[in-house]
Amino acid sequence: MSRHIIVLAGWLLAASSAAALAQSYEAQLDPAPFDATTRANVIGSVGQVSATLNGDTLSVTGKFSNLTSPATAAQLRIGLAKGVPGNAIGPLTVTHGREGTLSGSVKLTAAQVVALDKQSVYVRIDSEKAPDGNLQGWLEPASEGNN
Amino acid sequence: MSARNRLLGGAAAALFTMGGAYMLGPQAFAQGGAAVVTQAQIVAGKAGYAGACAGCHRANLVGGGDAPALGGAGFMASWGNRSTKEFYQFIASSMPAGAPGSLSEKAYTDITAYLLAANGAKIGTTAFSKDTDVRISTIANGKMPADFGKLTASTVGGTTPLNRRSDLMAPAFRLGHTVRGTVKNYVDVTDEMLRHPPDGEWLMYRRNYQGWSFSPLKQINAGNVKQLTLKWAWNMNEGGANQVTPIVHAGVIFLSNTSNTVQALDARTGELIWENRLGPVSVIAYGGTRSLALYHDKVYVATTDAKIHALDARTGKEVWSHPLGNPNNSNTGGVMVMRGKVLTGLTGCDNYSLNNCYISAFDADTGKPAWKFYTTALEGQPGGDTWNGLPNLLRGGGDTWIAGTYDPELNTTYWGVAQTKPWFRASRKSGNAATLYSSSTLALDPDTGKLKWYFQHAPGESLDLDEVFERVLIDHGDQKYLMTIGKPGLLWKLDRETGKFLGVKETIFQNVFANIDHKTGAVTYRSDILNQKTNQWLSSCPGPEGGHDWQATSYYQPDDILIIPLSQSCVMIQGHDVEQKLGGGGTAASQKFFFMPGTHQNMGRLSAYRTSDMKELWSWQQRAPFLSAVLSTGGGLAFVGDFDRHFKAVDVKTGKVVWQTRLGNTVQGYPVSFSLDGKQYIAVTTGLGGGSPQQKPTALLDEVHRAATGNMLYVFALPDE
Repeated sequence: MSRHIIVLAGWLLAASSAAALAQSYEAQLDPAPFDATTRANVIGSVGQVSATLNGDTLSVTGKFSNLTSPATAAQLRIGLAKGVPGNAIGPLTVTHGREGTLSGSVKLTAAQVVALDKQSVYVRIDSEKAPDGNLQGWLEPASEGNN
Repeated sequence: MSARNRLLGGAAAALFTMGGAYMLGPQAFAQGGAAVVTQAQIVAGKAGYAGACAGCHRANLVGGGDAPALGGAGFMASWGNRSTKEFYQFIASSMPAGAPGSLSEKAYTDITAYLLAANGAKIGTTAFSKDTDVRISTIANGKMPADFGKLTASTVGGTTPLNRRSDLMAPAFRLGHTVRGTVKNYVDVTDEMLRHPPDGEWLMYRRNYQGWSFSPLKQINAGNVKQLTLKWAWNMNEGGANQVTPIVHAGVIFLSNTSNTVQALDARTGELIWENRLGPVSVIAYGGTRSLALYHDKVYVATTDAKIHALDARTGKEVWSHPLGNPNNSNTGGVMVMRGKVLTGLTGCDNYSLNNCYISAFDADTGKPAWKFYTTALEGQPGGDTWNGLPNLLRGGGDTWIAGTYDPELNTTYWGVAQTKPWFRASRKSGNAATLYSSSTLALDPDTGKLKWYFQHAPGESLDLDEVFERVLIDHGDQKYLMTIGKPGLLWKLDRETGKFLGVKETIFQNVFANIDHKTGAVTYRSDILNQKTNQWLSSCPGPEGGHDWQATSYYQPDDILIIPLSQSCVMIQGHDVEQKLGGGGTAASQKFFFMPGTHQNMGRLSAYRTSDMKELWSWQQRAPFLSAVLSTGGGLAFVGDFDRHFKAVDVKTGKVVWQTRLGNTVQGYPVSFSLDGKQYIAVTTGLGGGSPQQKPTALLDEVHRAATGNMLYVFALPDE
């Protein structure tokens, strides 16, 4: 009995420590950059994501809607700064439809954790009509999204 | 007259100037690939281009301002790897600026065909259509055929293109002194009145020399503003860009319209007293004449064809006029009068020219030129060694498209200077040189034009992020400050006696500068901006909409509050290679738009800062950006209007919206307040046309639908008792 109590206490302590260390992020997904020839492929689409960093693993969940063509892929990406596009650092699973969900976990390097802290990490969803980006959103601390 | 007809109506005049199309080395039609256009199309397309496109992109296709080059290396860099179908779609869905989609499918296909042919595409028997889909680099090389002018001048089959048939065109817009009334009871405007404007009048651009846009009138306040009633309205000229400041004196509103038309209206009734349509008819969808000036018995206007005119304020009759620059130049910033001189800037300095860009002064009575100050430092002159060795011919930009302010005690006038052209360092080959006096504040002696000091906010600016806007002069005891904010959204405070940097504040998100030294004001660009190459996409937050743009701040002096209209959008921007020769250059860039991260797609922001410590007092955002300047009043209100037609009054202390109404089109211009017979009035204009502040929300805000016309003046007051 006492052994079970010790194990339970240890688990609760570990869980509460992890919760304390976990950091939450969020982003609104907006249409990716467009010009007059590509505007119709992306305008009006929208989405939201939330993310949690546990240790060095960033877990992302989200949803999207109003795409003009089915989503084909999604990634976690990193740029030089917030608002600056860059390379993919991990794939995410996405519903292949004009609306749906996305999710996934990506293990970050120390440099990528720093970039996340600087809000240089973002989520991108690609679609059939916008294979180089239909929606994008830079992750921000959960309370700072609506400045 | 519809915007479309106005544009088409300008075709004949613009055609006349088409002879000097850009020349990158005359060549025969040497392209490979299929012939996808017909001669009939390029003849019609030339006329269509002249009427709807040349005003911005220039008759010789070299581009200017926000309008990119449509011929030569710049065009091929931007479009060579894309398809003719995409090019057609781009034009048909986004052009003409200010009236996208307003032309017929035939007009768009003809114009597209003309542009392809002007870049070397073969002429044949197959007509270009919206479905023609070939890679542009396979049919065009950016080189205009030697006999292109002759080919496009031909008539085909004895027919007249649809867009040149007089029976389908609006009546000609008659120029000249068209209404010849007389202002009764006019009182000459004195230097003393300019230094200390009467409470009920609005004698100059920002109402006082210090650039406050503050009226001391207090009849309208937070308690009664909900009773505001429209007293009268006035239809203004359509076409062009309507971004004006109504000037009020002696019971008269002096109003600058597009097509360089000046009117005098009875401020009580809206009755037209006199009108002088100086012309030419506007074909440029951006670059409005932002302000007139009054002095003694004259009203002064600097026009979009780069001339300065003095009119008799009583009758509107021209007294004198003088050219400001060359035919490619323009003036949009308006004029200021100080110590008997009329000062004005110059714009349209995008393309390489022998006369560079400058601020100039004229004797107010006679029009005799007094001095010029070159805003691109020339070889051998102070600052001339900051151009990476470029010759004077290649020192583009340095436009001054917002009128300056003035401190009578220091006898110093303060002007902002826009960026270097082409926009990208890689395009202009200036390396990381500072390129003085671009993106700077200038302090000049108004008597001589001598430079007293300068402060460069963004050395070697590279992303169309102007620092050209209003310089607001504020005193705190004996301390004399100058405050300004540019497109990056950095609010600057300088000592206006010395130019010493005193402080800087970031007002919105920006990712352009990796570092801002708050001790010196030195900025360090992001590494990829410093290491840029042509044809490379770079992110810019904010983009060319700003941050802050020409929609000016207001200084609410009673509580030391600067109220700032801000915009939140970003671009991916790409600079192109340019021809480094006379007539070459241009802004030379392409853009893609996107919402600013973290804003939840809210493009507009209104913020208030206490200037003593630059603390933000309040700030809120909304979906539509603000397209008017801010007017604050002694009643504790700030008036501002937005892209989606809302005109609002906010409490200056809290930022709370206390009144709003919806007008006929985008609220665009500079609202003013005046009083007559004990009654306070608020005057505001609506308008179409403009550069990035119009283009970005037009593209990004899918739900906003606006009429194709709607340049108007509205005058509000409390109900009569």
